[in-house]
Amino acid sequence: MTNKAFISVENVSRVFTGENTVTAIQDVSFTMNKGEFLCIVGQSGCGKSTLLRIMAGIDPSHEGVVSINGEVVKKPDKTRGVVFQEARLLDWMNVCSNVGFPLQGMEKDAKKKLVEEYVTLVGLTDFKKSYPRELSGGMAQRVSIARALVNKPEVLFMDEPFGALDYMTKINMQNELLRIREKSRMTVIFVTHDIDEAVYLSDRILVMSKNPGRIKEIIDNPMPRPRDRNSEAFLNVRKQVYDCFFINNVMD
Amino acid sequence: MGKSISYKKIFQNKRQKALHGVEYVGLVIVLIAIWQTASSLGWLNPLTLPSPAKIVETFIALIKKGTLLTNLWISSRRVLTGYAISAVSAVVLGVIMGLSPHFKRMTDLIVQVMKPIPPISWIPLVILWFGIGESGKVFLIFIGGFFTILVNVVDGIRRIDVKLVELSNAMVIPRMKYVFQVVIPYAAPNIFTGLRVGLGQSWMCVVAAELVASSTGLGYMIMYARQFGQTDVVIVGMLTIGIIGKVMDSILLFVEKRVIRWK
Ligand SMILES: Nc1ncnc2c1ncn2[C@@H]1O[C@H](COP(=O)(O)OP(=O)(O)O)[C@@H](O)[C@H]1O
Ligand SMILES: [Mg+2]
Repeated sequence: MTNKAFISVENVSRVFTGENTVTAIQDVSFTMNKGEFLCIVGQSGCGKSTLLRIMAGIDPSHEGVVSINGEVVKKPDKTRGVVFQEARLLDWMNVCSNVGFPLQGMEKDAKKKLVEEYVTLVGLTDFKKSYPRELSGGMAQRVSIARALVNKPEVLFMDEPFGALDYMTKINMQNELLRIREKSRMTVIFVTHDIDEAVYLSDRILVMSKNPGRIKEIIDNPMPRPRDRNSEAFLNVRKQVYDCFFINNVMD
Repeated sequence: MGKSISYKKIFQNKRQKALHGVEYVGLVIVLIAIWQTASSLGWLNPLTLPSPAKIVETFIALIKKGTLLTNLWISSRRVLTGYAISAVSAVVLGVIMGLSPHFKRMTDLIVQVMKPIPPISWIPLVILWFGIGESGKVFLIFIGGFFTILVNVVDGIRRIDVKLVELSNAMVIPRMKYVFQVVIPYAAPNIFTGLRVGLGQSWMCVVAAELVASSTGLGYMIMYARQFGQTDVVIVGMLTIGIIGKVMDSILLFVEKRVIRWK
């Protein structure tokens, strides 16, 4: 522990033992500052989800150490929110109940107020009492984001949260995410395989390679916001990521 | 224009509904008509198969006399008691078995061996243990519903979506909240299937119990009538069991639709 990074990932590896042993990620180390927005990109199966789950504390069977705010991550915690690719809503609960699901031991009125605040934050005020089957994919994902935020986490983990959405909805959701994050100044770890998305959202981009999953490069992305997806600066960062992927690299 | 189309649609919907209604009862009516005709023409021996008219007549007479309703009430009470005990215990035990692999392994062999034993084959033991009193019949009904419900509940609980398990884990949901707000609602359709099949089993068991060892109830009424060659009473008893079974199942189905509104 030399410098005091907010998040530090040190020599993290994960081997899945089963019928055949898979080294999902090997010897991954990096640090993050508080409030930073990190995107993790890499092709399918390179261990992005595995790394995210280890950092979020959902996967304790790994080697190496992840620490957040000076504490070693060993299990999930309310100070960390998680959004998955699928909304994973509880079909039997309406929007408000789904958003309030992670809240424990709160007084009823306070809970209701807090839930409504977050339902409004993700723009679903008119759908408070709707059930998941009545929601579109984008709306469902908004609910799952509100649910991840309702405990006011310090760190938000998102695993390809917009991967299943159509292009327009995706762009909207990206902007909303940035707006929400602007308010709360959370630290965000965002997995995606969409390079444009990574360049648009992140402060830094962690590019992973496959077999075994390792860090290939971490690209700084200090462009001022709001960002123009067609600006030269944007296209430059994009090219940097592309080159990192495709130059001297045989894809399988 | 738009209006006339929507009227047409409503009309078509109504017609379709009427058609479905006809399909629902049509075959039954035709069969009864054929049966009645055959009886009237003297093709059927009234001692082995009385005519529908005679059965309706007996049905009304038995209601007026009070026999039918008294026996129906007695049988229903037995079923509801035994069924309530089996439903509650099987759901509670099933949830625990579904959640705890240890408990499941410990109990699995017993359940797997007990389940295929037809409830009726318990009758000799039940008579030995309980005599011919109420408790024996309730026990038999309990056996009849219990394993069916149990197996369905365990199956439903174990089918829980691993993604929801991971979600609950990530959100640090307390155990009991996880069980009642995630696992049980997820398994609710299977639990209801078990409850409905179990209810049917319970009905079969009450009749079986009353046929063998009872002096009251619908099963007894059927057995008693057979001894005196009253085939019409036998058939009235059978139909009553069928109809009540169907009514109870419909009630459960209604409750299920109410509870599982999210589907
Ligand atoms: N629970 C698991 N059991 C066995 N292998 C797994 C498991 N989860 C992931 N893997 C393997 O680890 C590798 C990385 O998976 P994952 O982290 O999901 O990749 P990504 O999210 O980048 O697509 C893959 O080869 C995958 O097959
Ligand atoms: Mg993944």
